[in-house]
Amino acid sequence: MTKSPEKRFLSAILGYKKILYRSVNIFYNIISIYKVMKTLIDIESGKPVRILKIAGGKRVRQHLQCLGIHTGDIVTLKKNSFLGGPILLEINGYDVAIGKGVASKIEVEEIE
Amino acid sequence: MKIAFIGQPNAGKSTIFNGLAGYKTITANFPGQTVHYTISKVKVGDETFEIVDLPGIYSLTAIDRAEFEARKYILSGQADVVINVIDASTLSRSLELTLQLTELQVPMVICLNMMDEARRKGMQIDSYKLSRIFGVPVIETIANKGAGLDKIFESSKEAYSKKLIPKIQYFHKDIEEKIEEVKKLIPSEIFKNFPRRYIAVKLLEGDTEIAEDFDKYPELTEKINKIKEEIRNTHGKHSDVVISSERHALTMDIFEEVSKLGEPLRTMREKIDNLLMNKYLGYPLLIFILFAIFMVVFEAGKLLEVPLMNIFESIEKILPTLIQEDSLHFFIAKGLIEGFSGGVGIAIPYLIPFFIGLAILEDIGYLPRMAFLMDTVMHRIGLHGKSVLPFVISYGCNVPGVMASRILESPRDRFITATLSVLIPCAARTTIIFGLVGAYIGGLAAAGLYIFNIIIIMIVGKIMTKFIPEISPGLIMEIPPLRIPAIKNIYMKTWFRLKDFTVIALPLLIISSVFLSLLQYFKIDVIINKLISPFVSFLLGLPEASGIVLLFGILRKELSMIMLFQAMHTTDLNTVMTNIQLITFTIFIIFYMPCIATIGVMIKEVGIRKAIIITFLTIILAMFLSTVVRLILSII
Repeated sequence: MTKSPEKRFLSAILGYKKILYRSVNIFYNIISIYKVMKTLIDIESGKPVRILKIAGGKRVRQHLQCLGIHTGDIVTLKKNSFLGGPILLEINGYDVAIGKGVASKIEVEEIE
Repeated sequence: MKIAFIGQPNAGKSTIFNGLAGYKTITANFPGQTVHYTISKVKVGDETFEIVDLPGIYSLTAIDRAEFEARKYILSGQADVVINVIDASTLSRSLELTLQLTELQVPMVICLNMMDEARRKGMQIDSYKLSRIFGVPVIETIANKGAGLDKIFESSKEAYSKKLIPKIQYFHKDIEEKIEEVKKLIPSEIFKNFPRRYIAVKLLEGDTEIAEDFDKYPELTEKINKIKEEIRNTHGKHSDVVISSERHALTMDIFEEVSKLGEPLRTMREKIDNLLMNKYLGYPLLIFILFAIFMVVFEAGKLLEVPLMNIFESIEKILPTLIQEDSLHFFIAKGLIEGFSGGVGIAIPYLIPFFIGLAILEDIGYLPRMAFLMDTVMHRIGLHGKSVLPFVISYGCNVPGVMASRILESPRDRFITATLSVLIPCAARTTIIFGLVGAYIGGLAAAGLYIFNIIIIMIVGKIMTKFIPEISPGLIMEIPPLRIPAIKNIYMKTWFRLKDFTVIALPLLIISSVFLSLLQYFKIDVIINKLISPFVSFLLGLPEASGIVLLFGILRKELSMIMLFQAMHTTDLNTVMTNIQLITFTIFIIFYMPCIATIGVMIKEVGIRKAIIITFLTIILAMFLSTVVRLILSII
């Protein structure tokens, strides 16, 4: 099966679009380093925060979702990371421990 | 009538099940205790109910083995009524599973368990309102105190006879329209017994297992993909993310409608919890608690062991008067008695206090806190906090230690943790460390061996994680509240585990003991000593007669010391063996091949192929370490 010229043209455009999207994405990522982005390991104990973004793979996201942690949720940081140890979060009355690696992928904002 | 219990991990399904059926499964204050399901028949009045305890699942999206089992069972349509057990104190996330269960359209009862815990947290739950929203009975229970359990059968019967199928909670209109579109696409010949809506939602969520069945209909898959693409375009997110956030939004709506959050009671528990998990005090407390438990285990074990061993010794003494010495019957009888005395007289006295201590730690909920504290240390060897639990258990006995490795999520972590657990000196090997090195060389040398052991375990862990470099998913674990353990539960749990040991390990101990005795009868032990003397004498520099002791330590480690005395014909080992030889011997004993009961349980947990690999690796490791230590010590 050979592709018709129109289809080949179309896929070329689509491929170009993909590259464009990707470069915009990379550019955005570079900029976002300079923005002050706070993750769960940058917050002091006892502060309520809102989760803005959960970076990381689908498995981690699903696991967090299972324990009731979603983007947009408001959680309280009970204990912050000590010597690279895990953090302790409180969500609607129960506690979840999250390792430092995972916690550093959860972007949050402080709320008053 | 068949009743299935389904709910999230640590919601108390097994506790309810045990409360209704007598003690059948192990419970703990630790998420993910049940892996396989248990079925039991209960007679109430003149009716027989069949109750099924399913593994805890967070959602119907099967991501691990336990979830897959539970989902398969519910979908098979075997259950007449499903009881959704909810830990009331985690209602906000538990309702997400409830929402998914409604899609299955089976008669249901919602059981709000741990109501006392919720009240302590200042939560007020309006169960009447919850019942009205879902259209099914809602009951309140406190399972570990047995409160409210009597209502379970009654409301199950009600749900069954009145066909109380939960009302579907609808998502936003635009998503519902898409679900409707997918529903119409599903051909009538497949998934006949499943509710259409459930299939449609799962297809939009991209469930791989259900999508597989659609492989026969490529044009259908294309249409569904088109709908998914449309959702993506309108919402800017993948359709599975859209569905899960819709569900989350619905859950929060219901949660806010039925519950009120007040001030939690700041009790003693909170203060103790803060102390246990304190970043400075937590660690000394951890060491103190473990040390205290092992002291109690050894002291209590000794109290039980001495009188028991006296009985067995006196039986062995009168044996020559009953059966003619040097006959085949005599050797078989001797092997049987030694097998029993090893299992009943030595292992069980230490196992009983150990199991009690472990049960108390589990039910209080200290183990997840321990995992929290040890997470950093475990990351050094490429694992995460949860692995510490199998390690601690292994100091008592490797068999339950290897079994405990199943709490880890990834197969890779399970394999590494099980392997490292095997290297930890169990109670039997501890007697050798103290009996040989401790007694003849000194306590400091014995302590040194423990530290040496821990260092080697860390190095082996590091090497293994280098060879299997998959990234550990990291610690994500619920920390359940501290609870006061119920005495009945601890008693039943100890009994249950002891029964497990008697069924798996004890027969192996007795059979191998008889086997050993027979070898002595046929004088094969001398031949074996000669055969393996290149390793024993040349490589390790040990007396030739100790060969059989090392070889049969595979069968029974706790007898190694007694056998060494027998083989060397003396109890003053320092007259026939040098200090270096004693240390070499002990190091070999610590690291090589776990006992036969451990191999048995390894086969069950990681499969026969990996079990054999681990066994051979430990032999090579033991050879290597004892040779190196011997060489270093002889130079010094």
